[in-house]
Amino acid sequence: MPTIAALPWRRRRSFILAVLALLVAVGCARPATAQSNPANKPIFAVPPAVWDRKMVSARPLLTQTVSDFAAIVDGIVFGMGPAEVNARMPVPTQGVTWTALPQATEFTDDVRYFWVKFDDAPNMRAGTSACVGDESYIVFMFKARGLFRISYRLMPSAVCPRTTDAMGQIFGRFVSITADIALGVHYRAGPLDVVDITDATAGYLLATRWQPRLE
Amino acid sequence: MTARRIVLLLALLLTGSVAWGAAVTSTDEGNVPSVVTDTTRPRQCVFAYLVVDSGNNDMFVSRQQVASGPDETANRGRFPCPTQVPTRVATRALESCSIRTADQKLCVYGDMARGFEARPDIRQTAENTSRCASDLANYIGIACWDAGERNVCNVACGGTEQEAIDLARGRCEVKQQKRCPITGAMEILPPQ
Repeated sequence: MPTIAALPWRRRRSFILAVLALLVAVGCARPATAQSNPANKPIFAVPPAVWDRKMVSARPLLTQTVSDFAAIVDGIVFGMGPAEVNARMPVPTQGVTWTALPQATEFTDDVRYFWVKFDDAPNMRAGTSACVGDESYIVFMFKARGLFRISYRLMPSAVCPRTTDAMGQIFGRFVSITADIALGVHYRAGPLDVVDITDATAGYLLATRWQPRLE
Repeated sequence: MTARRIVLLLALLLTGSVAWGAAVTSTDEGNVPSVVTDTTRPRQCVFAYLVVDSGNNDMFVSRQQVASGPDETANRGRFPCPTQVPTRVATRALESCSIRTADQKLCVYGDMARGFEARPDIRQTAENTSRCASDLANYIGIACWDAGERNVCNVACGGTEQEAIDLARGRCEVKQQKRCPITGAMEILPPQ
């Protein structure tokens, strides 16, 4: 095999030009990921509204359906029973039936729940790529007629001391769904970031928030 | 190293970087099938508002589109916006935040008065300076300083994302007399 030095001058020049052209092509092919992003704060975009010309009344600009919500949570929809929701988990919990579930004491009604560790439910990540902390979990809440709330509870840990990014990604996904279908609410509860996604038809249950019990 | 080996190495590098670029594009688009839209049709007027949950510093952009009248003509692909905006439009924008927070009293407009950190009240914020109109600007920007529990912010409109942020930062630093390193911006028009 010939070395570069052994080539005649004309071929050597052509070779150098070809190498330079390849280097330019390599540079151009890289995506512009190094460009600085001037914005550092996420802004959540809610579904837009459209007003009549006189700005007297408004309606949602987009038409969304339950399918838009179900697409984020792997086909789960409000109204499903505990066993139905449990069956959609990659590792279903044993013995999930309405009668066997514990009661959620923050509600005055008979509301029951089961929970899964966030890491055990990759189908419920809602598109987040950020770390969530290994103690983070998801709670499914039911009335007698079915699921009415999914509550993401993100707990910082040694491996993930900041869950803000994950919260932003999860909350952002649900904020894009019209409040007539699923209402996303974000709040802090002690050290946890909580994102509650509630069935818009849940009535007065919508306003109930969870707070961790002080031991 | 031989000439052939160098060329082979560079060709491999080129192939790898092209594949990398393609993967990033695919992830960004989320593998969603493309939708055919009429991009030549003029865009309706949109007022974008920035509203803030001052309890946890979540920021929301709420876009309020206004239907154009039959006698109106578009300028540079955009219909003009009304010069007077009823308060109910701003109220609806604020509701975008208040229905998504644990305490609706914590939702305020994004453009805040000096001293908001001591009196975190909606009366210390202004709705008219928290909105941008699509016939005058492309982006709505916000810049804030961190007052401990809450961000104190100001809003501006700009032709580009960078301009909206720079103008918001300038406005914030003059008004608040603080450095305002927390910034964000969004397009005024919703994605088509």
